[in-house]
Amino acid sequence: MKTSFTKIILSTALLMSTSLFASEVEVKITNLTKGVYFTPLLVSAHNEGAKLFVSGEAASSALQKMAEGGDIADLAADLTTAGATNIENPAGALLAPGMNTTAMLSIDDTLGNDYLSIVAMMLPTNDGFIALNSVKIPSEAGTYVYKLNAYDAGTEANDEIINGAGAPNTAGIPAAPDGNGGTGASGLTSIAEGFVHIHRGNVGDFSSTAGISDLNAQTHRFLNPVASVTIVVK
Amino acid sequence: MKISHILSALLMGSIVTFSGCSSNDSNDLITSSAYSVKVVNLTAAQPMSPIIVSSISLFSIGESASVGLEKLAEGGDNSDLVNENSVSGTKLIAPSQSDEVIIETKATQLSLASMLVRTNDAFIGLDSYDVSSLAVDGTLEVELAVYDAGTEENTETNASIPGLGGEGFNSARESVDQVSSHSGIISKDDGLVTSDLNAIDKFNNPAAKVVITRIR
Repeated sequence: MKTSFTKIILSTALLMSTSLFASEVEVKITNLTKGVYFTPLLVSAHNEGAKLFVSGEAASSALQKMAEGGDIADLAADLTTAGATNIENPAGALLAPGMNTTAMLSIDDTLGNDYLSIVAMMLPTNDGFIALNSVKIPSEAGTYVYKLNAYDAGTEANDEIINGAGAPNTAGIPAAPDGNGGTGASGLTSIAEGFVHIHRGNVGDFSSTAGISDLNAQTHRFLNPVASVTIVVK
Repeated sequence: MKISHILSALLMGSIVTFSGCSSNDSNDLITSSAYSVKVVNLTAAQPMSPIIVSSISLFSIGESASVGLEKLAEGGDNSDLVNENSVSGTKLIAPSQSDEVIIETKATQLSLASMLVRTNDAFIGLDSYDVSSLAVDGTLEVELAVYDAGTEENTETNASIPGLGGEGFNSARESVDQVSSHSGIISKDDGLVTSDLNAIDKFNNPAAKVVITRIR
């Protein structure tokens, strides 16, 4: 806010350098799926070193909490410690299929926070999450579109049993917000993969009271991309 | 608006004399560009209905499909979407094959859609894609995902799929009634016993590739 006068003075110098003050970045996130909800989103502008995860490596305990139970508090705290600018839960609730939400980030460029990350757990999954993982924010004003893939944190077996469990290291899926979840499944697997990777997708079955999965094969499957992000750099 | 009309009239009258002034911006006010739009079918076995390429929006995620889009997505019939802003392809695009149309427009955004014929209401789509960065002879390549029009339940039965000899368009809407990313074909082979589709009818993203070339 205090920068409007400074901006005028600096505008000439700016032509020959990278921006030196706060930039406004609008971030619109759309849930592209047919039947999967996103838990509270974490949107963060951070420096190059503050990456939330690396594919192929084990998830941090903070990432695990987000992916298994939708709890973004620890990830947000880690980012704040690293000097990041965060917007937590811009939708104010679950982001339903087809819905979108917008977060306005005011980024102090002097902190080097020119990388953007977005994460949220996907419900119903065991430890699936959407991610934009540390993408450089374009310095040139304009509109940029990114398609997001579903990742698996690798911390919990994809048993596809809905039992209300969202705490880390507790097997099972918290809920199926679309109401198409079942009960009584025997479970698909008990093996967690151990590393973050692209999600292989929900399997589901065709029984709401038995079978191998409590997920519904007709409403809970998804293909990538699962989210669309539109960034407007002012 | 009035001023810009006068401005474009002036520019049009003087464009020969002052050709040095014809920046891209002023040209956009008075002349159309032409784009070649080539769609390549990347699926294993899903024929794609004749494409529609439009300079205006054709669909929006999370919103209810227009009747024109519903007809395209359920029956492969793009006729309701043909108008002064759009161009239709002339053939079914078989897997591994492609089709190409040319659209002339002053707009700098392009949309397109084509049904995956062996589905209930799946279509490949691109909506309001920005081509303003294209100079003449410039090319953009885009990979397309499959969308679900959200207008017909994905029953996967012969009776409901035009590519299997069943019904195309039906004005009834499924309960969700919003466009979304498609969650994929399940098929009989993968446990949906009432499905008349097989594993070969499955698709993944991207299902098509689009090559957009500005030719004028």
